[in-house]
Parts: sequence; structure tokens; C-alpha cells
Amino acid sequence: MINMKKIILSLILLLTLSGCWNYNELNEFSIVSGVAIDKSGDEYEISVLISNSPKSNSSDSNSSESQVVVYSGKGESIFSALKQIGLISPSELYFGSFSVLVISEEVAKDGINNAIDFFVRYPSARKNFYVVLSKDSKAKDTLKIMTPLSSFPSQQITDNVKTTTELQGIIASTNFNDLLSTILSDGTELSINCIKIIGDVEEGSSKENIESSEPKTYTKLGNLGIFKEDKLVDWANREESLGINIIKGATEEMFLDIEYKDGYVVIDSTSFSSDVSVELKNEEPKVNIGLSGEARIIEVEGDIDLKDSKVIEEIQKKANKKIKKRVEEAMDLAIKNKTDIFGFGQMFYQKYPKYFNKEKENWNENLDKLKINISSDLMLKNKVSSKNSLEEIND
Amino acid sequence: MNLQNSIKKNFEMLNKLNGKSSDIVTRIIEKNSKKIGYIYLESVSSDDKISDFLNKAVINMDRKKPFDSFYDLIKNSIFNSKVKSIDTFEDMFYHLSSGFTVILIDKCDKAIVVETRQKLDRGVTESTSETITRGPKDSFTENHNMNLGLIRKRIKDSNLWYEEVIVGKRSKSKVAVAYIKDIVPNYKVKKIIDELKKIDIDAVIDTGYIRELLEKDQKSVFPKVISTERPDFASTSLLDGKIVILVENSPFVIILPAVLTDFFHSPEDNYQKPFNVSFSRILRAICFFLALLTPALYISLMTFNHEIIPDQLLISLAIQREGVPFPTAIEVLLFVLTFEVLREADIHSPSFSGSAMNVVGALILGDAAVAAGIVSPIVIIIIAATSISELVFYDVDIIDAIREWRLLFILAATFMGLIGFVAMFIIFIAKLSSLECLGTPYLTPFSPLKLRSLKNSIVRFSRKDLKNRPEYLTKNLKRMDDKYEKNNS
Repeated sequence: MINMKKIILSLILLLTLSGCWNYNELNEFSIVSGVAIDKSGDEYEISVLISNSPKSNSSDSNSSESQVVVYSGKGESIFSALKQIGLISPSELYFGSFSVLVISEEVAKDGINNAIDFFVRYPSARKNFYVVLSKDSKAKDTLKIMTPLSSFPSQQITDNVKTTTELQGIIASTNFNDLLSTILSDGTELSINCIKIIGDVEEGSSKENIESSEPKTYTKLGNLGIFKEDKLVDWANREESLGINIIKGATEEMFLDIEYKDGYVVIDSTSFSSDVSVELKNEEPKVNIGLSGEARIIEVEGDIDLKDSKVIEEIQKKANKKIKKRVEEAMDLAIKNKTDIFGFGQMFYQKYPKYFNKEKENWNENLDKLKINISSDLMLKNKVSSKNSLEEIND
Repeated sequence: MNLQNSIKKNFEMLNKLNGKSSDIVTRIIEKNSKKIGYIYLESVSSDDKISDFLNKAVINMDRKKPFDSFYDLIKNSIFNSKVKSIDTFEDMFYHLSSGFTVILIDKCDKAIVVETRQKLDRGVTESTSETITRGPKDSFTENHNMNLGLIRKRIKDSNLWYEEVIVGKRSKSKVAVAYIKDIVPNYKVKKIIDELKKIDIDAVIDTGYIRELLEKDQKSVFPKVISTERPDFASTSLLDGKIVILVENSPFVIILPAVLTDFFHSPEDNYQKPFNVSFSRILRAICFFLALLTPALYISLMTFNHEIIPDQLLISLAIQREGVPFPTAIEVLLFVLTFEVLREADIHSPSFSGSAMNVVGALILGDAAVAAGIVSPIVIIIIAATSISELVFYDVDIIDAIREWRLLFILAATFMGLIGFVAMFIIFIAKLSSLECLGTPYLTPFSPLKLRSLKNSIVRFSRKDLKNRPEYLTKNLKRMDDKYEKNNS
């Protein structure tokens, strides 16, 4: 019996002496769902989007909708800026589950290493949030734009990034893990999509923006910004962005409009893939980019006879040529900025480590010496309901 | 105490022993200058039967028949199939209480008892505690012989043995151990009978007494025997190689040994299509864990391990909890207890107050509590899911066991979050593994793994694939001939 008493006593002690270590009620937190980093003068200005403040009229049970609050603070370091926010916010900030980090153009140009260091070390932060750049506007403002289709701005941005990555060639989602591994490894550089604000910020952050059926202000995803080491060096245009994503294999679905005779044909590919391999012959580095996929015609204008297999072949040829051109443009941009955003260096490192280690120092500078061999093999499957354009059928 | 050879003296002795109980009826008839006395208890005996069989027989008795003594003459003239001789007062009381009539003859120290029992039970009725949609609807009753008969008529095999032990110093209840001789290993039956014989108690009113007294070695809230009131289920269990214990005056029988997965089964499982049965059983297994773990998991996620909750859900949960004055654990405990109170009230209240309870339960405790900001809606959902999950089990014992372990899980989660939760789960599994009944570990057929028995545990294969009995119950495995399929196709 004494034994039993001892066991029970120690169990009770075991339970209670833990003292509820790490105990925190969920509503004692301000849950941060988006973070923006700006620069103001020499200081960082960090803004957080807090999304769990209940609406003032939450007496009805349907109170799961939220009103968002953006707080910002300034400081020489990210952490001191966050401490400034702590003075404003009624409860402790919780960074465990924020979904988007917006970095402003200025911060990116100065180098993002210092800015992201805090998030690498923060213990309970998940590392799978998306990273986007803000172009032509303050990063803080992108967190303020209310949209009617999502309950809060950060969700709008993440959903947008997620779906467009699948459906559009020019957008490739970058999450924090990708960003870290790219920064930390040699022979590959960053490229991150930007986000722009269309319209007036003041209007966008007010409630009217949600209530109107045509929101005056909205955010829109844009082209890639390319980095050298941790600094933003240039912006790619639309075509170059597509080219970059094609080489990196980040494009699965994309469309191309091809001019043909006096009209045009739009083709859409849903299973596009790239196969990049590197080889070294007589100390001469060579990159083979093999592109393949299937596409179908989704829009036709003009007098084009799609029943003719020769026409189809010709369109196919043109499409492949166009893809090649995109890739070449992207290569030119990389060479111009002397930054290996495609990660060729990494591939050489994996296959020919000795060679790469020798060339490592000047890898980016010698990017133009790489021999690039592009082969594009897009198959056009003409599975459309109507063989020719409607105009022609009317005749 | 032996009977004496004078009717008067015996009557006096009886009155002395029984304090002149009001239901004792005594009468003396004189026949052929011999005195015959009889005694019965009018509370348990049927007057009609006594008049029909006894009085008539004694009065019309033919003296000329060649019998050695008057005693033998009477004994052989009575038209009744149950006639016995007794010679002690203890025996006399036992038979009187069982509805027998005792016939005493002058100058003879033996008595004759004749069955004149009155029907003191309801007939065979539909089972109320284990309702099913398909299958036999009869259930055991309080009549011991009828219960034995309900099994016997289902298994017309000479190997179906009933062994009877009288338990209880005062109640002298018949406890029958039913088993199929060539399926059940002998040592199991012997062990049970020995245990039953060792029981020293004044009365056994229901099977619950026996169940509790047999389960003395290991303390556990988990039931190690199945209680049922369905004779069809008892019969299938017998055929599987289990042992059934029937207690006089109890409509519930116990089936042993039981393993955990037995409680995921329903009596109906034998009459439904195997695929549907498997589906229901998997559902019940899921419900088992839902009922056990959900509140604890909720508490540990809400108060310790927020990082596991997906972003959107986290925000939604945080908003729902806004303004709730209690810590999450108190909030959950409050509503777990509320539900238990409701259930307790519902079980024991007559049906006419049921609707009032529904209103209180559903409207006031659910809606109003949320509107008043005492609990968050998600807690109501959690408790509702938990409570509904536990109600899919038809055995009350397993529901109670889940309920108690759930509180332990909540406690562990409250103090230590997921770590406590996992620690408690390990303790839970260890506890389950340590249980055994008649040498069968409680987690069979999973641990120890019995591959062939898995065919009828969480899933049920078709009857043609279940040619063997569970190997953890018996060595006589063949239920069907292996060639059965071939011969018929």
C-alpha cells in the first residue's frame, strides 16, 4: 500500500510540478499572418498584419470573420522594430503561422540577409511562408489592401501566389525554405516575384473597398526580380520571367500566342517540363536544356486551315522557336547581370565538384562562357471541338 | 437439520425457523387413517397446480397398488414430472422458496417435494438494450430455465454442456456455465467453476455480482467480459469457443473471455453483408479513438502546441475563443461534465420527461452558453463529436471505460500539452496490453498478432473465408470443411 501511495503521490507531483510549461491560451496572442519589411532612412520599418481581432459587432455567433489590423514599428534591427510594435499591440505577437513576407524593393536592393535573419532564428515560426517583393510601393501598404474575396490581405496574397504558380508561367512561388536553401548554396541565385498595388492605398485599406463590386484598389502579382547574392539587381520583364521559369522547371502550364499569316493562334500547354543537364568536355562547360510537353490550340483568329497537318506542323515549329527565344532572352538577362539564377553552377557542383570549386570565384562573371544548347520539343495535339475558326465556318 | 418423524413437530419447527411468515400455508389431510401434511409458500407457488396435481392425487390414491410403504405409494401416485425426496430443513426451505410443495407423512422422517411453481416472470420479449435492425429479436428473461432453453434450441448438440453451481449463502442462486465441450479447453471451464465455488457471498441478485467477483485479479475500467441479453449472440459466442455464464433471475448473461475488438462488434454483424459490417466496425474503431482523444487533443493544441494548427484554422479558433473567460481546459471539462450529467439524467428518467431534457440540453446548454460567451462554439462541436462517438458502442461498460480514460487524457493534456497526451497514450496502451482474461491478452489479435483471427476483428471477411474459429480461443479450429467451396462449385 505504501508503494501505491508513493506512486500516486509522484504522479500528482509529476503532473502539477510541470507548472504548465509553455502554456498559452490562444486568445492571449495577436496572431500575425503577414509581415512586411520596409526601409525608412537607415532604419527598418517592420509591419505586421494581425488578423484575429474580432469585429466590434461579434455578438452574433457568426463571428469567424475578422477585421485586420496593421501595426508597424521602426528600429535599427528587425527585433527592435518588433519591440516597438509590442508597445502598441495589446497582446503578445505570435509569428508561428504567418503566411507571407513582403520585402520592399529598397530593402532587397540593400541585401535581404539582415532582414530575414530574425525569421531564421525565431523558434516557432514555420519556414513555409511565401516571400514576395513589393515593387513601386511600400511593402506595408500591400498588407493593407482589403479584398472582397479573401477574409484578410495576407490570405489574398498567398492564395494568389499558390494558384497563379499552377496556372501562369511567369509566377513561381518562393517560400522561405526555398529562399534559404538558394541563399545558402553556391552556384545559384534568387529570383522572386513581385507584387504591385494598383490604385490608391488609402482607398484600398478602407471598408468601402470590400463593399464595392469593382474594388478600386487591388494587388497584382508581377514579374520576377533577380538577385545577385542577397541583393536585388534587376527586374525581368514578362517574357524573361517566363523564360526563367521555363529553365527552372517551375512552369507546368503556360500559353503562347503565335502570329500566323494575318491572324494568330494561341496554344496552351498543361504538361510542360524541362530537363536541364550539364556536361564537361575538355574543360568546356556545356548546358543542355531539353524542353518538352504537349499543347493544344485554344484560340484561333484569321484564315487558318487547322485541318491541314502541314499548318499544324508549322505552328508547332513556330511555337518551339518562340519558346527557344524566351529561354535565350532569359539567359541574356542573367548574363547581363552576371548572376546565375538558374542554378547551373549548383548542377556543375553536384556533377563535377572539382571543376566547380576551381571556377567558383568567377562563376557569375563567366556565365557567358557557358555553352548553352536548347532543344524544344512541344507537341501540338489538335484536339479542339471546331477545326477551323468560326469566321471560316460562317462562310 | 434433519426432519422429524411427526408432522406437527415439523410444522412447529418450520414456524420457529421462519418466524411464521405470512405466505406459508400448511394443511393436514387424513387419508386411510394416515396423516398427510403439506406446506407451500403461496407467494411463489401456484394454487391451481397444487389443487390439480396434489390434492387430486392424494385423494384418488389407490391403496391396493403394491408398494412397500405409504411413502412410496404417495411418491408414485403424484402426476408431476418433478418429484424429489428430501430429508433436511435446509433442503426444504430451498425448495419451498423455489415454488415446490413439500409433502410430509406421519411417522416418516423424509419429505416429498413436488414442483408447483408459479410463473413469476415476463415472457420472452424483445431486447431493449441491444436493438438491431435485422436478426432474431428474442432476449433472455429472468427465468433461468427459459434462458438455458433459448440457447439450447439454437445449438442442438450433445456437446453443449451446462454446469451448474449454486452461489450465495442466502440467495442460493443457480449459476450455469455453458460451453461446448469439444471446442472449449477443459482447463478454462475448470478455472471458472473453481472460482465460482470459491465465492463466499450472501446473495447473487444479478450477473453483475458474478462478473465483479470473477474480475478480482486486475483492476481495470475496461470490461473483460461481454454482457448481453441476446441469446443469438450468446450462441455465436459459444460456437466461437467462448464460455457463457447465466445467473438465475438475471436477463443478462456474461460471455468470456472478451478482447478489446469484441466491443467494436455488434450482435447484428453476423447477419449483415461482410463489407458493410467491416465499414461499421472501422467506423466504431475510429469513434473509439475520437471519443477517447478529441477533447485532450483540442486542449493540448489550443494551449501548448499552436504551431500544429493550420494558419486559417488558427485564426478562426482564436477569434472564437475571444471573450471566453475560462481557460480552455476548464471550458472543456465544464462541458464534458454537463454532457455526463445530461446522459445520467436521461438514462434514469422516465420517457415522459425526455423532451424537457432535450430542450434544456440542446437549446439552453448549447446555444445559450455560446451566446452568453461562456464557451466557444468549437468546444460545443468537440464535445458533441466526442459524445456522439462514444454512443456508437452498444456495451455500456466500454462507454464508461472510454469516459474515464478520456478524463485522464484531458488531465494529462491540461498540464503538459502534447507531451502529456502522448505519455498518457503510452500508459493507456501499456495498461491495455497488461490485461488478460482466462489467458487471452486483451489486445489479441493485434498483440500478440494472430493473423488468421484478424479476418474477423476490425474487419469481417465473408463467411466462406472464416472457416476457422479464433485460434486464441480454441485448438479445435475447423468451423467449416476446407473443401466446402470446392464441393459446391
